[in-house]
Formats: sequence, C-alpha cells, structure tokens
Amino acid sequence: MLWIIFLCLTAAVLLALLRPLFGGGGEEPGRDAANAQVYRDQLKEIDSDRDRGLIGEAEAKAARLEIERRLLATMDADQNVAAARSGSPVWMAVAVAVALPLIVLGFYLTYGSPQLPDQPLLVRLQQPVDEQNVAELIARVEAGLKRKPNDGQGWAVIAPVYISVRRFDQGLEAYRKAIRLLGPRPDLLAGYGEALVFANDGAVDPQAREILERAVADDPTLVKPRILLAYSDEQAGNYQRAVARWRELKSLVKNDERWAPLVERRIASAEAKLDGSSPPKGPVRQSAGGPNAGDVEAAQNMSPDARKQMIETMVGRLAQRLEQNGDDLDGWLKLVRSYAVLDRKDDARTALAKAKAQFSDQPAALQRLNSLASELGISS
Amino acid sequence: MIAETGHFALILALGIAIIQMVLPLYGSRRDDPQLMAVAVPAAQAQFLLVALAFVALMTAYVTSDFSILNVYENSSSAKPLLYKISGVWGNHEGSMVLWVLILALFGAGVATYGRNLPRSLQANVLSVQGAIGVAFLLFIITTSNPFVRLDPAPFEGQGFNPVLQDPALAIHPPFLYAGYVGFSMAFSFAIAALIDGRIDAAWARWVRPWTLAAWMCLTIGIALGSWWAYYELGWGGFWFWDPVENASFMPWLSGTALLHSALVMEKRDALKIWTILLAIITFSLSLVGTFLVRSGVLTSVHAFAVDPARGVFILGIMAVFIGGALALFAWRAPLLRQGGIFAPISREGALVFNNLILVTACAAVFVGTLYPLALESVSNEKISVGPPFFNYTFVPLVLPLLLAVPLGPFLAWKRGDLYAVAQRLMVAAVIALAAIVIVFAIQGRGPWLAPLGIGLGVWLIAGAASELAYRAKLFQASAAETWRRFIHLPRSSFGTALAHAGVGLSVIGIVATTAWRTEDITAMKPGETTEIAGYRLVFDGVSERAGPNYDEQLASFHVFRGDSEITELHPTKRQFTIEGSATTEAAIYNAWGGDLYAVLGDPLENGAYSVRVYFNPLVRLIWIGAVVMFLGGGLSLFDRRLRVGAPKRAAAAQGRLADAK
Repeated sequence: MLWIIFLCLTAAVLLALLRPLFGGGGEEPGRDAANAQVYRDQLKEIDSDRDRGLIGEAEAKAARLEIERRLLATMDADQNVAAARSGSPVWMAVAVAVALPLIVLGFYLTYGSPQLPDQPLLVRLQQPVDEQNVAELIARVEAGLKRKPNDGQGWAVIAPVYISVRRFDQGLEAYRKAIRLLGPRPDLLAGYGEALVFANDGAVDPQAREILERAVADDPTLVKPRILLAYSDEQAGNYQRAVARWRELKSLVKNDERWAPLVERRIASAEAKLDGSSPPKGPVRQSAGGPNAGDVEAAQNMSPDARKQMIETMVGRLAQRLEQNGDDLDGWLKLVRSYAVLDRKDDARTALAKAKAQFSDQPAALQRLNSLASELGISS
Repeated sequence: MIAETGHFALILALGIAIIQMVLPLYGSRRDDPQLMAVAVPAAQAQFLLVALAFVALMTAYVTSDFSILNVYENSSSAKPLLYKISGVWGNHEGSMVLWVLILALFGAGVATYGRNLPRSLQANVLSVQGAIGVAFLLFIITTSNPFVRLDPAPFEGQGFNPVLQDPALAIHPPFLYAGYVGFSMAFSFAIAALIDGRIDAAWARWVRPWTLAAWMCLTIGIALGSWWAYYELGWGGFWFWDPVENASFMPWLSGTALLHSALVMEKRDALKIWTILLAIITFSLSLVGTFLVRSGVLTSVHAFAVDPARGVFILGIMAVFIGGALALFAWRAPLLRQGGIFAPISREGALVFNNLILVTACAAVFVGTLYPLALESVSNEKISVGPPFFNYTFVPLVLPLLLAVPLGPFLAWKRGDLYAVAQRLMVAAVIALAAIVIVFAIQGRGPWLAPLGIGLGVWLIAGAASELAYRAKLFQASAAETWRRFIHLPRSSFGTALAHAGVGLSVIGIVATTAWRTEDITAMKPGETTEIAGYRLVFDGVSERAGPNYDEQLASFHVFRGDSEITELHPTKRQFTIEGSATTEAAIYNAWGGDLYAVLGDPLENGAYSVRVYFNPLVRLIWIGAVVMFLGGGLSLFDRRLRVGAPKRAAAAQGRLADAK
C-alpha cells in the first residue's frame, strides 16, 4: 500500500514535470513583447484611474508620458528574438524520468522507515493486547534495556508485563532492579509483592506479606496489595483480621466497579466463617491461566477435600504437560514445589530428577533446581 | 503510513527542487522555452509535496504519534490542541519544514500568477527559488529530519517547552518566517536580473509588493515576539537586544531600506543596482538570522563545535548563497543600465538618506550581535554586548532618520524644495514643540531627554497627518473639495502616512516606558497592601488550581484607584508536570495611561510571597504602532494605482531632462 502511494506520487510528479517538454510550447511572448505588455497595462490603469477620478488630469498626463517613453525604449531595443530552439527534450525527459526516482528512492531508503506503521496514541490505547503483541513488546523493551540497563522506568514498565505472561522469575528480577534504581516506591513494592504471590501459586508467604504491608503503609490507597493481604489472613485462618481488612477495603473501593462486588462477597464469606456457618456461593470465574485471584477465591470457597482435589487435578495437568514437553523450567519448578506442598515427597523427588535430566546441560537451571530442592528439604 | 508518506513527499520535493534548479536555468541560457516551462509545474508540485509533508507532520502531532521522534521530543498527549498544532513549528525540525513550506508557497505563487512575466525572468527566478529549496530540503533531510521514527514507540512524549505554550508564540513563527522567506523573493528576482544582465519592466512591479508583504509579516512577527517577551518572561521588558531578537531585527532594518529603494526603482527607474544589492543583503541577513537561531551557536560557540553538523551545513548554505550572490553581483552589476537622474534634495535623495541610515544602523546591530561570537571563538573569552552598546550606537544613528521621516513624502521626485517643505511642516513642528513643553511641565522626574523623545514621536505622527492634510488641501480649498480630495487620495498615500505614524506611536511608547516605568518588589502577606503609580493593590492570598496540562498557584489582588475598586489581578505560577518546568504568568491591567503589571514570585517564610509590581506608562503604544505600520503596509499593498513615477510638478522639466540626455 505504502509503495503504491509512493509510486503514484512519483508518477504524478513526473507527468507534471515532463509535460512541458513534450507540449507544443504554445505561444511564447518574447521578452520585449512581455515588457511592452506591462507598459500597456499600466497605461490602461492610468486611464481607468483618471476616469474614476483617482488621479488628476495633469498627473495622468505626466505618468502617460513617462510610461510611453519607456515603452518606446522597449520598441527600440534590437529585435534579436532568436527562434525558440528546442534542444533534445527526449533525452532530457528520459534523464529526468530515470534520475528523479533514483535520487528520491536513494534518499528514502537511507532515511525512511517504510516498515513502521503510524501509531496514533488513541488507536494504540484501544488495541487489544494479544499475546503476539505482548511478546513483541517485551522483545523490544528488552532490547532497549540491554542498551540502557540502568533505565529504572524501563524495568518498572516491563515487570508487570512479565508477570502477566507468567514469566515470574524475569518479572521478579525486573521488579528488584526497578526498586533498586527508582527507590522503594509503594507502587513498585505492591507490584513486587503481587508478583511474589503469583509466582508462589497464589500463596502469600512471609516475604511477600512483609513487602505488601510496606506498600500499603506507604500508600494506603493501593487496592491490590490489600486484597492479597486479606486473602492471606483468610488462608492463615485469621478471619477476624481478614474481615477488618475487607471492611477497610470496602470504603476504599466503594465506587470502583472492578472491586466492590468481590469485596462484598469476601466480607460476607469471611464473616460467615467467623460465625462458623457455611459461606454463600458466589459466582466463580473461569480462567485459562494458572491460579489467579479468581481461582484462589474459588479454592477458598471449597471444602478442604474439594480444594485438595482441585489442586491435585491442576498438578496432574501440569505433570502431564511436562511429560509431553519438558522444556519448561518454570513448570518443573512449580511441579516440584506443588508435590512438596501436597506432601507427596516421592513424586517431588521423581519430578526433580526428571527436571535435572531435562536441563542437564544448563548449569543455571540445575542450580535453581538444586536450590529449590534444598529449600524444600528433598533430594533426588 | 501517513508519516512515511510525509517523509517520502519531503524527499520527492527535494528531487523536484533539483530539477527546478537545473532545467529552467539551462533552458534560459539556451533560450529553450520548453525547458524553461518546466519551472512552472515544478514549483507547483514542490509546494504541494511540501504541504503534504507538513500536513503529515501536523497529523502526527495532533494524533500524538510518538513513533515519530520529533513528536515524542516536543509534544505530549495532555497538551491542548492549539499547542499540539503550534508544536509542529515550535521546534527546530518542524520550523525548518515551515520555512520551506512558505518558500515553496511563494515559488508556486510566482509560477501560478507570473504568466505575464517574461518567460526567462520567471524561469530564472524559479530556478533560484529551486536552489534555495534544494539547500534547505537537503539540510532538513540529512541533519534535521522531522520524520525520524522511534521503535518501539513510547506512550508519552517529553512535552513542549511551557514558555512557548502561548497564543502569541503559536502564531509568531509563521509570521516571522513569512517575513524571512518573503525576502527570498526579492533575492531571487535580484539574482535573476543579474543572470540576465538586465532588469525588466515587471521587475520592480513584482519585487515591491513582495518585499512589502514580507516586511509586513516581519513587522507583526517581531511585534508578537516582543509582546510575548513582555508578558511571559515576567520582567515587563519589551526588547532585550538579545541575539535572537536582533536576528529578526536586522532583516527588518535592511528590508525597510529595500522597501524604500524599491519604491524609487519602481517609480523612477533609479537606484537599480543599489536595490539589487539591498535585496541580496536583506535575504542574506534572513539567512544569518536563521543560522543564529538554528545552529546552536548562540548557546555556546563550543557547543556548536562539539556537534557542528547543523551549524556547518547552514554555514555552507550561507557561504554559497551570500558569497555566490555577491560574486555574481560584482561580475554582472556593471552590465545593468543606470536609470533616472535626481538632485540631492528630492524624494529620491531623501530615500537614499533613509537607506544609508537604515543600513548603517543595521550594521551596528550586526556588529553588536556577532562580535561577541567572533571574540569567543577566537579568544575563548565570553563577553556580553548588552543594551548599552545598542543604546549608544543604534539610537543616535536612527534619530536623524526619524527626524527626517516627515520630510520625505513632501519632497517632489527628481528635484525638491526643502524650504517649501519646511513651511508645510510648520504646523507639525509647532505641535511637536508644544508636546515637548507640556511633557516637561507635567513630568517632573525622569531623564531630561525623555520629553524630547516624546516630541519626536509626536513630530512623526503630526508630520504624517500634515502630508495627508496638504494633499487634501485642508484649509486651502473648500471643505467639500478637501473631502473629495481626501477620499480620492491614493491608498498608498494613506499607507505611507499610517506606517510613518505607526513609527511615531512606537517611539512614544518606547520613550515613555523606558523613562518613566516604576517598579515595586516587595514581600507581601495576605491582606497587605502596596501602592504604585496611584494604584493600590491589596493581596488576598494564593490558591491552587489545575489547568489542562499544568497546576498553578493563583494569586489574587484587588486593585483600587482612590476609593473605587478597578479590577482584580491574578498573576500565576504554573508547574508543568510532564515537561518538569515552571512558568510565570504576569497579570496585566491595561489602562490608557499604561499597564499595571503584577508578577507572583516565590513563597517566602511566614506565609509571605515575593511580589513584583510594575507600572509601564504607554507601553501598549509600542505594539499598537507596529499594528498601525502593518495596516499602512496593507493599504499600500492593495493600492491598485499605477506603480510608475508621476513627477507631477515637472511635466515640462522632464521634457528638458530628456533633451539633455
């Protein structure tokens, strides 16, 4: 499309420029004829001005005299109007037709960027963020960060994107760098805490908890860390504190459609737990990805057996996937951790061994597997 | 797609400009009408393509397309639409595209409306225009390309210098550039005449209106710049003799000279060679102005040396065009036929006087502007030639000129009678003297020269009025006859009178505000009062407010004169978040006597603010004068009256002169 426009523009320009070379030339007034014409126009203007009373009779006469004198001088000039020579317009036209596109193309290929589309802000903001785009986006930002590794803002921008595509290790690393470069801003701390929770399959460990608490202390208006903290209280069985947290949240998000219903439900559920009655059933959101807030919430609503079963199913699915395609270090790490959490130590050891075999040629991966093993207290 | 189309169009325009430069000139040398005829579609196509590129760039600004580096660096999505548009020419790259757009527009104008020009004159003119286009398009594309892309595109731009986010400065550059580039027309015609070794009848007819239009635009452009500096920079000054200001003032001075000498040439066929030289000088100064402002040489000669790509390119353009034009002038000017003869005391003589002084004054400004740069580059010593230099050189130089202005229009062409002119200006002189006496009487303080300066301004205005009165035979014929004559006066007479009176108004404004401005810099707490020039200002305090892309502290003053409240003043300080900088917005109350001008300073301890209040007497007259000059130029421009010399007193004398030849 772009090149068709360029072609049309160039063709139109060439057509316009070359037409005079092939035209008949028309009636060309000679130089003295043109000058005489100017003087005759001026004489006419004097007459019309005099008729309209713009200048007096005497001035008009004097002006006429002056112009007539100049007109006469023009007539006297030797009439050496050479017959208009037509050179060789054909080779000239060919030269132009060849040279112009070459010059223009040469410059454009040097300075232009034909591969880049327009990116008006409004359109960009409305575009759905599909996976393809995200991967491309990440690649570009990564390239930029490779050049400028101390660009804290760059790390802060890319960190949540890593998390959203479940590249947790990179996401956590990006958050750590952003916090180091930009200082412990509450939004960064909140993002980091969230990322820790997601990376940990939805469990809020003490480290994440501490970071989230700090974020909320620095900026009490942050919603997501408060939600995670409230969940973690529920996970720990501390329903009293959970209810208190949900209540605080309620006043914070009461005008926010994204959170208000969730908070309402959680308050009801937590209070019910506090009273010992069964929780009301809320709508359960389905999610294709791993456990997100919705899954965690769904898991919370189940009886312990049902919950355990759900987790077993998920772990089973993961194990199956890794059997088919083992080239997923994060998947293996998660599987090992899950078995350990489910107290299936043997399975955990087997998975660890399989993973080590898979990544036997990658020292970095092996190191991470080993450190996980020592953290969980298992060895293959 | 739009951005890349714009980029391609700009490059295609360069290709066309090359053809426009080469073929018509070659054709005119070989007397080949077909080759010369290429100039017309080339100039038109060049304009259309540059316009396409400009519109593409503007689209990118309006839609905040941050994939274009230039947009990213100079815009932000939060900016109001007006400043998104004006942001296009608020930066180096975009302003150069605007420069070329105006150049191409004028070229297309000559191509489209110049059919009555002799073919070879038109071809040569367009060829020179093409050459200027080639130089600047090449400069833009290779060193200042506004279409450089950014990949990946950021989601927010770096914003636009807040000081420039202002209505006056939004339209200032287009006027300024129309002025600069308008002089390129006179330049092209001058070079065309030199190439041909002859000056056609249509020459002055075309050059003068073009020069006039350029001069008008430059006048308004400079006035807008000065007005903006007055209310935006927060010091109440209207002219700083800053190199950037001087850069536009120099072409204005020599352009004013060119305007007057073109008048002589058009009407009397005299001063041809001088007019051609002036046309070259004026455009050269426009190039110098572009160079000074655009090369970075002003910030520091050394910064220029570090990144010289742009500066050296413009320096090259200047060397080729100025050097080439002067060389061509030295070689070909002797071929031109000299025109009419005139006595020293005559309209022509007066205009030569005007030209000499204007050019000398321009030279003084030139030295004052460039000497520090030259010194710094040679000796590493950084000096600043401030206002004192210009006050001691420029001002004494132009004083005799201003004194002589009213005389000029009274003098007859060819041979004038100074004594008779003096008689006719008696009334004006008396009025001016009376003004001096009155001002002396009522103004006890201030420099003793100030009343004389006011008298000079009054002299200019009264002299301009006298000319109209004389031509209409006021008090010499019946009232009806006077009225008939008055309304039938050629519009150019009104134009001359208005323009000269405009100079008078500006002079009065400059003198009054320089000599009698008062200022008061204090710390004020809410509820406190300060007094200046008969006004009493009560400070109510400061409140916060949010603008479209800034936050501001808004101060409130109630202004009293005597016991009655006149107005409220709200000077503000604005913080621009994206750009990370702040501006001061002065609050100005305008009365006939002058401007009350309040600026909010920084907060001090214990809740007080530093506040600056000025009273600038008659300061508005400076810009009103410029507008009056502009209107005068407009009247002259639309005068359809013949543009030939009409030595009305001397129909007989002319016959004798012709015999004598």
